[in-house]
Amino acid sequence: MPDEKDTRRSGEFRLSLEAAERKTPDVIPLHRAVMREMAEPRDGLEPVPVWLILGFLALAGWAGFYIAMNSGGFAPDQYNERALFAAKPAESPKPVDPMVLGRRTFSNCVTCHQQNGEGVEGAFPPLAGSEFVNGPPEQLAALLLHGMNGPLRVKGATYNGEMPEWGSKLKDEQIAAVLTFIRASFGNNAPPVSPGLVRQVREATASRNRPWTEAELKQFRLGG
Amino acid sequence: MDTSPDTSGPSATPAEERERLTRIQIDRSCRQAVVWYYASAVFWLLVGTVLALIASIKMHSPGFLAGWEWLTFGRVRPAHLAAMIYGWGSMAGVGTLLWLQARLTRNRLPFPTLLPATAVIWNLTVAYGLVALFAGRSTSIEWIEIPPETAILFGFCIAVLIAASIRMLRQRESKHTYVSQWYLFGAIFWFPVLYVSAQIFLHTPAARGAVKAAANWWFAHNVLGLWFTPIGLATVYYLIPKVIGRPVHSYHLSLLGFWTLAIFYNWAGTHHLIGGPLPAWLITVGIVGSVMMFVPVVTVAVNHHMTMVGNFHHLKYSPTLRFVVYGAVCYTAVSFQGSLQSLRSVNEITHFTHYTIAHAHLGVYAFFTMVMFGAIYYVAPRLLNAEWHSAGWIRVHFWTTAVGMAIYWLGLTWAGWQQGRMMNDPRIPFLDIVRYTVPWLWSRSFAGVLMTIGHLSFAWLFWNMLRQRGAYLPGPTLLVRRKEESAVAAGGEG
Amino acid sequence: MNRAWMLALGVFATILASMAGLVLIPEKQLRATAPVKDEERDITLPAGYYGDIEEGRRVYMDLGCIYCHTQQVRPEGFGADIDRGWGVRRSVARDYIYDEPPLMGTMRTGPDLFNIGARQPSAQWHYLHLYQPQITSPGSIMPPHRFLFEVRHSPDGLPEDAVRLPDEFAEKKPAWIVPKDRARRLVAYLLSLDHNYEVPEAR
Repeated sequence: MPDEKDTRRSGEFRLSLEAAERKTPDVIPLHRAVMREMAEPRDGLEPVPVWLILGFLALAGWAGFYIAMNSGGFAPDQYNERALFAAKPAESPKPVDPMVLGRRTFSNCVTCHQQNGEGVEGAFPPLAGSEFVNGPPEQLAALLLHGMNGPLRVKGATYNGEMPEWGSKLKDEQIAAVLTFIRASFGNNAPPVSPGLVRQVREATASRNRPWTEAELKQFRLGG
Repeated sequence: MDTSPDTSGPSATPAEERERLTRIQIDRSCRQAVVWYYASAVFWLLVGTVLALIASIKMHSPGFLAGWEWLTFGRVRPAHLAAMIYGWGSMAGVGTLLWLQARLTRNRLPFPTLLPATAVIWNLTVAYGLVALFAGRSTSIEWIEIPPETAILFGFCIAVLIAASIRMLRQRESKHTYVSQWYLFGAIFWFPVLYVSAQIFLHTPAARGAVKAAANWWFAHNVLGLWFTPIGLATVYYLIPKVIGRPVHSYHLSLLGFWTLAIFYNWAGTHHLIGGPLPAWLITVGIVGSVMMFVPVVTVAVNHHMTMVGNFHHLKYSPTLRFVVYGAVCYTAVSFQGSLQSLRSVNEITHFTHYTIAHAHLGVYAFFTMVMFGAIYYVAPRLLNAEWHSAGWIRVHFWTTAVGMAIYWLGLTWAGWQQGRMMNDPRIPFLDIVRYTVPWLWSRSFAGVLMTIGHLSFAWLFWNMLRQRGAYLPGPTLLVRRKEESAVAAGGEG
Repeated sequence: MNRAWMLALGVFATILASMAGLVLIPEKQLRATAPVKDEERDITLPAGYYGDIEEGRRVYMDLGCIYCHTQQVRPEGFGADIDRGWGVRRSVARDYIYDEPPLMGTMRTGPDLFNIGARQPSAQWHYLHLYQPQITSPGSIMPPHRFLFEVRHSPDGLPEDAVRLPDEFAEKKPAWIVPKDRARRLVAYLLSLDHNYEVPEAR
C-alpha cells in the first residue's frame, strides 16, 4: 500500500517526464497508458463443465430429430415441413362457410370502403347502412360484376369516383359470399345472396362492357 | 489514479521495461491506420445517427420532410443502415482488429502508408454508396443496398487487411495463438467471401428468383454473425482479461465456443424466410442453425462470466470494462432471443413486426457498438498518448446509450409482439394495428434522442482526444475516482 | 491453437459449407422451375415484367417500398395472411422466377402487396393513395409521395388519368393531381401484382 508521499513522488516523476517529452517530441513518447496496463491476456485451463457437454449433446440430438421430422424429404417443391408425417387431408372438399369466404374476399374492398365498412368521407361511400348494399340483391350483384362510375348518392352524401369491376377477377361463389358478408355486417341486416343469383345476373349482363352509372343501375331488373 | 509502484513508472524490472517498450513501438506503428479508421468510424456514427433520427420520426409523423424525394423513408432507412454497418461498425471493427492483431502477434503493423490509404478508400466507398442510395440507386436488397461496384473497392481494402493479418500472424512471437486471434482471423476472411459472393449471387444469374432471397439472408445474417460478432467477441476476449489482469477462464471453452460459432452461425440466415416461398428443408436447416447457436453462446457466456467473477467492482471505474461487459451481456441476450425467435411458433408472431427491428438493434447496437465504444476508450489513449478529457462526458455517453437502448428495445419488442398477435387475428382491421404501434414508435424516437446525446458526447470526447486536449492528466480517466489503491486495481484502467 | 493453416482451413470450410447448403444446392434444386400454363387464357404465369411494369418495379425499388411492405403470403394456418385476404394461396418459389431481385420484404408496417393488383385494381385509388395515403387509409403512417405528381387547379387539358382530390385535401378548390411518368409506371407495376393463379406445389 503506497503511502501518500510515495504517491505524490511518483506523480511528480511522471510529470517531469512529460515535461521532458514536450521539449523533445522526437523521442518515443512516453505512453503512460501502456506503462500502467496489465500483461497481455493468457489462457486459463479450466475444464469444460460436464453439464455443458450434456446440454450440448441433448441439443444436438434435438437438432437431428428436428431436421428429420421437418424437412419434407428435402424435396424442392415441398413447402409443408410436416408433409411426410401429416395425415392425408380428406379428399372431399370441405364446405366453405360463406361468411368466412366473404370476409377473406372482403379484403379486396377494405382499401376503399375500410374494414369497418364506413368508407372515407368525401372519397369512398360507406357500406354500413348503404341503400345499395341493403337494396335489391340483383342490383348489388350487377354493381360488383361491372363496376360503377360517376356521381353517386349514398346516405345523403354525393361521391364521385369509380368502383372497379370484379366480374373478371372473382368467381360467382366469391361474389355471393362477399355480398352475403357485407349485407350481414356493419349493422346491416339483409338476407344472404346465393351464387345462383350471381350467375343469373352475370348471364343477363354478359354483353355489358362498361361500368354502370347510378341511373342505369337503379333501373336494372333481372328478366326485366 | 495509476500510482501503484508495482505496475507502473520507475520501479519496473528490466523485463517489464522491455515489454513496455515493445508495446509502445507496436502502438506507435498502429497510430496512423487505426486512428484513421476510428476517426472515420465516429464520423459515420454521427451521420448514421442523424439518418436514424429522421427515419424514426418519419415512422410516426409521415409528413416530416416528406417533400424531398431523396429524404423519403425508403431511402433514409437503407442510408442509415449503410452508414452504420459499412461506415461506423465496419470501420471501428477494422481499427480494433488491426490493433488487436498487432498487439497479439507482437508485431508492428505493416504497410504504414497502404493501411491508412485503405481507410480513405473505405470512406469514399461508403460515401459513394450513400449518395447512390439518396439518388435512388438502391438495389432494394436488405443489408446490401449499396451498388455492387462497392465490392471492388471494399475487396481491395480487405485484401490489404488480409495481407497485413497474414504477415503479422506468420511473424508472431509465440507459436501459441490467443482466442481473440482466431476470431479476428475468421472475420477478416469471412467478410470478403460473404460480400463478394453475395454480390455475385444477387446481381448475376448465379442464383435466381427466390434463391436470391436465400442468398440475401445468408449474407445479411452473416454480416452480423461472421463479421461483427467475431470482431466483437475478440475484443471482449482481449479486453476483459486485460483490464482486470486475470487469465481467461478456460482455453477449452474458448476453443469450443469458436468452432461451434464457425460451424453453426452461418446456417442461421434462412430463419428470416420462415413461411416464405422456399422449400421446407431450407427453412428447417436455418432454424436448426439458429437454435444450435445456444452452444457457442452459452460457452462464451460461461467463459466470460467466470473470468469476470470477483472483479465486477471494476465496472464502477473502468469505462472500457463497463461498455465491454454491457456488450457481452447483450450478446448473450440477443443470441438467446434470436434462437427462440427462429422457432416457427414464435416466428409466426414476431416475423414482419417491430420485434425484429428491436432484436437487430440489440445485436448490432447493444452488443457490437457498445463493445466498440469500450475498445475505443481503451485503444485511443494508447495511440494518441492522451487521456480522455472528461469522465463526466463518458458517464453521459454510457448512461444515455445504455438507457436509450433499453427503452428502444423494450418499447419495440412489446409493440412488435402485440403487432404480430393482432396481425394474426384477421378480425382486427390493419389500420387499427398501425394506430396501436404509433405511441411505441414515439418511444423509439425518444430513445433515439437519448442515444444521439450519447453519440455527441462520445464524438466530443474523441475530437478532444484527436486534438490532444486533456493530454497530460496525471492518470487514466475513470468513471468515478477510486478510493482504494490496491495493486490489482491500479492496472485495471481505461 | 498453434497451427494457422488449421484455422484457415476451418474458416474456409465453414463458410463454403453454408454457402453450398443455403445457396448453391437450393439453386440447383430450383433452377428448372418453369412458369405454369394457363390453358384458358393461353398464357404462362407468372407473366414476368416488361415495359412500364418493369420500370415501375425499378421505381418500387428505388423508393424503398420493401421496408414496409412484403410480397409473400404465408400458408394457411400460419399467421393470418390468407384470412386477411392477401392471397388465396401461399407464395411459392415459382412465383419469383423472374424476380431480379425478389422483393419479398421482411416488415409489414403496411399490408402485404403480393396480390395488390387483384385486391385494388383501381389506378385512381393508387394515385390518391400515393399522393396522400391518409385520404384513402385514415390512420396510415405511410409517407406521402407528392413528388411523383403535379397539382393543377384548372380542368383544362387534364390527361385522362388525372384524379380529382377530395375537397378537404385540396389546398385550393378544386384541384387535380396529375401523375408523373414515374407514378404511372409504379402504379402499372402495382396493378400487375396478381399471383392468384393455381400452382401445383402450393398445398
